[in-house]
Amino acid sequence: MKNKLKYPTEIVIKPPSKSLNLDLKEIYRFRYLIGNLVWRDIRVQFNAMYLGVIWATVRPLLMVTIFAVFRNWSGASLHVPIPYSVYVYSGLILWFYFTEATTATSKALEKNASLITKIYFPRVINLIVPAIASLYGLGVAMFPLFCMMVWQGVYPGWRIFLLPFVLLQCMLLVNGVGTLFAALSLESKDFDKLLNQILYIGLYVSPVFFAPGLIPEKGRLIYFLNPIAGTLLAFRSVLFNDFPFPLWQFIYSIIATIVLLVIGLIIYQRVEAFIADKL
Amino acid sequence: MQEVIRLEKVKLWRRTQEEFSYDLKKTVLSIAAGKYRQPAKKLVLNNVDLVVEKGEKVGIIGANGSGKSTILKVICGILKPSSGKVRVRGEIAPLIELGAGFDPNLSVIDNIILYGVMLGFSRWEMKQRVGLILEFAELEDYALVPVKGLSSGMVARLGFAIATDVQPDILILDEVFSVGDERFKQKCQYRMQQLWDEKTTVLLVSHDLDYVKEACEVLIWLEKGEVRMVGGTDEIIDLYLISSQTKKSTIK
Repeated sequence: MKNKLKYPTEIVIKPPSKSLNLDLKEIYRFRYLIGNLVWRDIRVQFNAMYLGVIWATVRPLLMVTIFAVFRNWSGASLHVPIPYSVYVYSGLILWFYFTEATTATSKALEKNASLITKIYFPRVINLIVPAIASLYGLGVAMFPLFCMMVWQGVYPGWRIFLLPFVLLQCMLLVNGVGTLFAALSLESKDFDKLLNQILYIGLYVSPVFFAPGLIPEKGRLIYFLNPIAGTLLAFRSVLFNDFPFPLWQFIYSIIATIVLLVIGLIIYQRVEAFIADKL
Repeated sequence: MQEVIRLEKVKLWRRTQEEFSYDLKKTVLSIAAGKYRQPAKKLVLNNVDLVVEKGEKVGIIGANGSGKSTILKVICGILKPSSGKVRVRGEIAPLIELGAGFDPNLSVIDNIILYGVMLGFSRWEMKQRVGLILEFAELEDYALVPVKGLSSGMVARLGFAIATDVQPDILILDEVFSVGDERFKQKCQYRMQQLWDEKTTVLLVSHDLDYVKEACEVLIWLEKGEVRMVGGTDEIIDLYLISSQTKKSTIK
């Protein structure tokens, strides 16, 4: 067969290294595989459900309705400087992206066990794919948001150009947290439960349906230790011109993301040597 | 002759399944009580040195649990050696288990493409080859059926068709000669014959000594994770049979 795409002509397989070592070249070489696994994930998810597109939007829409109704009845001030429905909906879709992608990453090794134990490819790829594949659902859920923005008269400013940057940070955070828990859950299933709890509680403590203005001045420093808080606010800021950019919080989010990525990778590499034995 | 596979002093420890501490509570308590033990490990390959040259047909024999399949997995890169080095030159198509790596929810066509991409082809190239693969596997009528809807024989046929269609430099076979019905078996053998005649390097594991005798030029005899002997097929098989015969008599 001609013009066959060659993987390297010589591979040297050495014992797994102890230090942090991410072979980006190797990952790039398998880029078609990444593309294909992403495509597979999307296809399985949206083909198996006839109404996949509706499910991706219906949950945040319902939750927005519920939150909005309760806010009106109670008259509570949630310190949101822009139309409430737009604020909550945009927060929810990014939050659901985060939880879905992180959960999928943490389970990716088990899900692809039949590949990992039978064929060679850089295993890290398994942990990259969910963050990319889940973007599809986020993209679908953006359409109702655009309608709501037009309806409410909320428009983005020049900061919209920062959107890819904010999304990239969110994806890397997914990779970091997901990789950490993927590695830990190989050791014990308890970590699956722990992650579920964190993500479940996270919805209520992160700035999804209220703005951090609600938190007393003294508590805010602690409040922003949550690495996704900065991401959620930055996401609103790039989409809505009237929402200020949370510069310091976002810088903290980036630093926390890098730290989590490094920790996740180090722990992952420690268990990688035994992955094929454990799956 | 050009060497394509070289193993240097390869050692491999594997963690044994039953010792895994899936229970976090137990682990924490045992650490607190100062009784924590590292999970048990087993040495499955011990100082294996091996050189395979281009176009050689190599058979690996040995008792169950002697490390035959493990050695293939190390060469494929599925398992990394604990110490030592493995060098591989050329593309490998592993047939560790026919049909491994298929996604049961995807259609036959999508699985063919996915599998091809995993072996190093682009989507576009695989789309060109789908027809031929389906034809060989005799699954044209099932092209759009999810793989979970196929019988196990059909899955095996599909796996065989893909792995041999991509014409690898190195073909790795682990007990894969019971595919499908009699007629399909002959078809497989014919195709294997073609690979045999070409420059493909083949490593195969089998308990079928007659087949090994016929198909291989060089044999590696593994025992308890160590290479016991390497040599010409006839010579090794004779020694192997004598050894297992003496073992048999001790059983009685």
